[in-house]
Amino acid sequence: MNTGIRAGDFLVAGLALVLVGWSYVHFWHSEPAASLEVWVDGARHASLPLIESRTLAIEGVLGASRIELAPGRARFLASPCESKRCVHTGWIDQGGMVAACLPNRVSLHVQGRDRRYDAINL
Amino acid sequence: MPVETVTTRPEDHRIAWLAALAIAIHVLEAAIPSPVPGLKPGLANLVTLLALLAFGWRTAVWVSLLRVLVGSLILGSFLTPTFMLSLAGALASLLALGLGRALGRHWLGPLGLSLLAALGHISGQFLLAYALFIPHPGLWHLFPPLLTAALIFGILNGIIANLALQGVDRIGTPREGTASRT
Amino acid sequence: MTAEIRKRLYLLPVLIAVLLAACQPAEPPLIERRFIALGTIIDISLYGIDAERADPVLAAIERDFHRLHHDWHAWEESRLTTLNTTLQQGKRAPVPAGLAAVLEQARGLNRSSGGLFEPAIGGLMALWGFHGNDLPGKVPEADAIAAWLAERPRMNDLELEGGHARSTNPRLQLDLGAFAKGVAVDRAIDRLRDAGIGNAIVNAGGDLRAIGARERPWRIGIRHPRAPGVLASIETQGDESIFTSGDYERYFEAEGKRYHHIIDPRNGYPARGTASLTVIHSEAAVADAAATALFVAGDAWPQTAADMGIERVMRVRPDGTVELSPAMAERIRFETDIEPEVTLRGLP
Repeated sequence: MNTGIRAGDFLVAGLALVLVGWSYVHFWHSEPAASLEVWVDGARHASLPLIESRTLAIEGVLGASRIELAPGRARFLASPCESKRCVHTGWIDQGGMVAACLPNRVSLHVQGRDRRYDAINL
Repeated sequence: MPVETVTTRPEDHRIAWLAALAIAIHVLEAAIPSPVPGLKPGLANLVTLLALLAFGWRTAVWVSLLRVLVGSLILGSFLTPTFMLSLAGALASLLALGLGRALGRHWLGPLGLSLLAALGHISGQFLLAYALFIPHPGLWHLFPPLLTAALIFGILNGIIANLALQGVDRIGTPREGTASRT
Repeated sequence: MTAEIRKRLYLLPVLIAVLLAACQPAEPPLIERRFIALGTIIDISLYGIDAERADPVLAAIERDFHRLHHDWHAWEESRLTTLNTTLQQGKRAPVPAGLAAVLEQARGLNRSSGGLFEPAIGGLMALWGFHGNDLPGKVPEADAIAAWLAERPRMNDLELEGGHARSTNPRLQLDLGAFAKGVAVDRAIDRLRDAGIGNAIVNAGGDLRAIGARERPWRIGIRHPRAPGVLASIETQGDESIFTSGDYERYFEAEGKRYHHIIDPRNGYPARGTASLTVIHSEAAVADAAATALFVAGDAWPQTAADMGIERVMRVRPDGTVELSPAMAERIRFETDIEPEVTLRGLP
């Protein structure tokens, strides 16, 4: 009969363990969740994960810009500037995409999952 | 009108019984809610494995394919994506078992075979799901935990298979072709 | 045998740990600098160089950008606005050597574009209200546009000689908006090269020039003009500038119609028929001027591209259909779920 633990069983179990470990490294580790860098007046202000939905206020040179974070994307909700171009930009969701309120000196930069693009031609 | 008699061999009975058992488990497993789609203990696979070890390759293939076919008919999923995933899993699992078998039965025991079958099963399902249904890279995020589950259940099923076969050994080894059902 | 293997099994965790460590992607040696100038965000990425060597060059580039911003601003007090005022008074104005070279280059591109790239358009831009940080809300009077067209100033009305400039047309008002970014990007790349830096992207609000590569080619996404996200991507080769002019960059809506900032100097109204136009060319200044000129050219863009020596062009029309020059078709990769309807248009 074919019962009992054999040498090959250990080998298969070992290889299976390696395979499982490798799968985590390969499928999980190389693709960290997208994050959002918030820059204020030429300096990095914060780096926020784009995992859950929330809104927050960023203090710029004119006043507070309200931004919304959501899984994988972000946008300006309101801004103290006059033109509201930042709000009109809408959602940014790809690594390298930018939304900016230049009068308030606040800009949002999506950092890609595996950074598919080094820059986005706008 | 001439009556045609269908003669059944003991092997056919065996396949029918084992397949019935596998189908019952298959349907039960489908009824159990799972936190992650595709996450199942794989007890139906265990029947295939036992069929292979106790009665050989031919029986195992029949049991496995009958389970997928009849199981899907009972669940009403025949030719739906669920069925195709099930079939892909069964075929990949059989392929892995065949490979394991080719390595030699003295070298590789039930535990190793069970692991091979479990890993083959989930890999086959995943490849098909990715190729046909959800060609989105995000799908692969599910792969590592499912592979982990396959590892755990593969080992557990291997241990169960070992115990079951040891039990059979004590009662008396059924021999292929001569064993009969009572 | 089994006992031995069991012993070996203890090695497995070690093996896995080693494998995990080996697969850990090393942090790419990428240096990034970001600042605001020329009314946009300037992003500089350098690859394969240490920070100590990069810092002084980056600081110099940042100073350059700020200086150009102050020299060339089209409506805030700048050397350019001073020059414009003097020219409009019909007087001879002194032009610094740097600016003179830029104006000469602009004049050359104005000629090759058949007047579609028109730096003398400042008066019309002001009329439309695009000279201001805020967007205009209404369309100018048709009479005002007609008056500008009647005297339509051109780059040829500008005489440049011996460090001085003079205009024969009182309506001539220089606006380097479609050109300054390109020139500034070229200067930044020159500075990087002088410092021995061969792998870099200088990105001025999405218009950029890329030299060299990182561990793979630089990968540039091109924004979809009508949807969020990326329409297509290009991997740069060697030394290439990618510039896009789009009707979504600065625009206002009045009575349900979109009025954007790319004005056709031939009729005085925003150019129609194109949503975005992308060109690839080695020099950023040329690419910048060409993106504008080809956008204005509308359906006739292949002729303008040929005249300006541009081989790689992508035009997205407002209905989402795409036109490509054959050389562009070889390089572009669409990134949308459904590939857009594409037409190849050969250059004459």
